Amino acid sequence: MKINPQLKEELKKHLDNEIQKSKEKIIIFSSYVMGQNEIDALLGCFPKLKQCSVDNIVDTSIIGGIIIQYGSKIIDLSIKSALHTFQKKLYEIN
Amino acid sequence: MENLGVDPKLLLAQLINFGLFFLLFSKFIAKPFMQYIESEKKKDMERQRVSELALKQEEELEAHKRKISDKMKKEFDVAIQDARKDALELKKELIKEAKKEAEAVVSKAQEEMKVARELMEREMKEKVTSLSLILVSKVLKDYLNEDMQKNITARLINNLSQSKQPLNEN
Repeated sequence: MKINPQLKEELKKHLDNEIQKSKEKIIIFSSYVMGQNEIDALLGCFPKLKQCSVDNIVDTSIIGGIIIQYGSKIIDLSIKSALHTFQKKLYEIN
Repeated sequence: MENLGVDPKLLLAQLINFGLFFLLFSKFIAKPFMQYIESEKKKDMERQRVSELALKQEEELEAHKRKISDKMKKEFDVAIQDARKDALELKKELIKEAKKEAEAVVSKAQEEMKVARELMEREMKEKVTSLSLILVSKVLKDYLNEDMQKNITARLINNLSQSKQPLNEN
């Protein structure tokens, strides 16, 4: 199947824009509303992300800890994730 | 002789009569009769000979029959023995094969049981861990208040800042 080259180019541009936008934005998932000092302290650990805008989304299902989403990357430091890791380890025993 | 009551003429006539009678009898009656007796005797002998021959043949036939019967019996015995031997071997072979098949079935069943047990254990383990995870999640959700959650976040940030290679380098 041949794709129209113009359409292909448009799609590529659109995707590049979306990636660029997502790279400029950080989403932090936490189980409570994080204070600005906490967000600043967290961004202090990631110097390259200091210029990006930050969104804090409350998600009680993560139980505790935080999840940082940056572009297509996700840093999961939640208790829910730790429990899942623990569960996987339990499966792997024997 | 007359005094004794014997008439010589009559005696002579009787003698001539007797002579004639003897002559005629010996010529016309005794000879064919004797021939008849001889032929009957021969026939009897022939009959006896044939009878003896038949008896002999019958005995021979009987002996032959007995011989054939013995031979057949021996062959039958041999065939029976062979058949028994073959049947015994076949029986042994069948038993061996049946044992082999039974062992294979038992082995397969044991293997299936083992697999089923392992599957069941795994399922049980998964269920137990899932349930444990749900329970722990529930307990933690109920137990952790906001201060505790803030403490956790602070500890996380502290750990991140202390790590030699910060995650933004990836």
